[in-house]
Amino acid sequence: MIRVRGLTKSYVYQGSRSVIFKNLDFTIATGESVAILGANGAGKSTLLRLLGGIDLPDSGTIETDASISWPVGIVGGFQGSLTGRENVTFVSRIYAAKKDIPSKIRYVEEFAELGVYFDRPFKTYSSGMRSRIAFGLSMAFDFDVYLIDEVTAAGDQRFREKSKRLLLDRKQRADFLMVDHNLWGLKLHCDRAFILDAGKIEEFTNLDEAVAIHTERLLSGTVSTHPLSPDPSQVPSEPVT
Amino acid sequence: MSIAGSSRSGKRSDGIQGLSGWKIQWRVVDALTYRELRTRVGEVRGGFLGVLLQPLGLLAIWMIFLSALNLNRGGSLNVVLFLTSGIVLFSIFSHIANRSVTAIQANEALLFYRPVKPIDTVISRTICESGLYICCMFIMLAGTWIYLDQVVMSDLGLFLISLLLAASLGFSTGVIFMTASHLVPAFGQVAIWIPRILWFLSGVPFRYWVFPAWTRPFFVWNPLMHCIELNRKAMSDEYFTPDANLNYVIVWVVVQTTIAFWIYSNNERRLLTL
Repeated sequence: MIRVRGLTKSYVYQGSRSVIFKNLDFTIATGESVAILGANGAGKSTLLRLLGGIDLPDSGTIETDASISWPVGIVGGFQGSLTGRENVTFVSRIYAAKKDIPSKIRYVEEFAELGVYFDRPFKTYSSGMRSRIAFGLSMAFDFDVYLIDEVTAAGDQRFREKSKRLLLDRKQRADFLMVDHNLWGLKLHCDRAFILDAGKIEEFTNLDEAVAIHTERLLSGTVSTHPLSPDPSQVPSEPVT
Repeated sequence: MSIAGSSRSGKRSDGIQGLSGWKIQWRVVDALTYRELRTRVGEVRGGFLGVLLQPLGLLAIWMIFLSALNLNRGGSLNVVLFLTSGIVLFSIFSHIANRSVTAIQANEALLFYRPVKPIDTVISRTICESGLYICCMFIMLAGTWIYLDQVVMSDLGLFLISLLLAASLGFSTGVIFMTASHLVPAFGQVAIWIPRILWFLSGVPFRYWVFPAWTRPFFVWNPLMHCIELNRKAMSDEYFTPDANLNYVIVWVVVQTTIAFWIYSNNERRLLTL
């Protein structure tokens, strides 16, 4: 279960504060997979970053009793000077018991199919190779909830098919929070949806209805494509509890 | 391909859920230390031996330079040990402090993982640099012992405590440097000069008390000077050092570490979101 209360996030750029979203409240029960819909810049990836603990909110709380992955698909979290194997070893040393580290490395090596490149610096990888290793690394760990950001759009056709099969398999024992512009992929993996628009969240129990409303808004141009306008006085500054 | 699977209601074997804070800290520092060593080893030819030869080479160059300047007055202590002590302890301090200035920048990609905090990068750098230079020190001690057939240790406890205190000074200075230079980038340019100035005030290549009495206060306040002198004293009981005070260094380290933690804990959030 994930319970979010009063979640607010803003960024300051060149002295000007942009509010991404304000006072979000929602609860996701165990066993539910949720699609997060919204236009570019609506704050979908930011929300995943907050849920994954990569970024901190201005205010609000995120309570959970589940183990949550880092956002799967974002090719962050890799040190360019280290090889793929060394990067995987680094993450495994944190997230896995010592005895399981070799099996995690082997899993990613076999999934990514990088051959000799697995032992070359990460900075030399193509974007497709990076996606393969990032997705493989995330799937090597057994989390309760996976935060999945645009993963079905990454890599070549073969990788996308492989990822799809793996996600379907993992869905048997874990939940997803998915951001994807591939709406068909969302329908395949999710049970319900949130639409993030103009800094607010709308919850839908019917995924098809949410997708239809989201698509209509996008096509009619009534959707907000930018963060909320600067409003520093409205942004609480107290730390997260 | 397989992965340790479990049902939704079952216990997960992966992740950090359910681990104690210390266990998580241990795993993160272990992983970052691995990353530091891999990067250090990958940077030089010859693998780990190459990494070890770097500070040994530095030691050799300093010894030739300082011997040429006739500044190697070690008194009753063998000159090689006198210089090794000064150079190794000062290098432990300065390398930790200097490398901490860029610790966040160098590990930015790895702060992506929730358990990894900025202070962990300084802890792992402290472990790496201390370990590396302590290895060098023991090689020099062993070399001197074999070559001169001379007992080189009179107080092993004091010897180890002085090393630990030098590393602790480097760590607490590093935490302050990391925090300050990330919040105020211009500080990073100033910070790298501080160890350079301290080099002259730590009695690395000379015994400070041979200088005129009015210069003494410039040296005596410096806890690193005390560490180095105590380390030399530990190697030879006859080594004369008029001001070295173990209690002074311990109190300094405790106070400075407390200040460093206070500064860091009040700014950790800003370090993660800037």
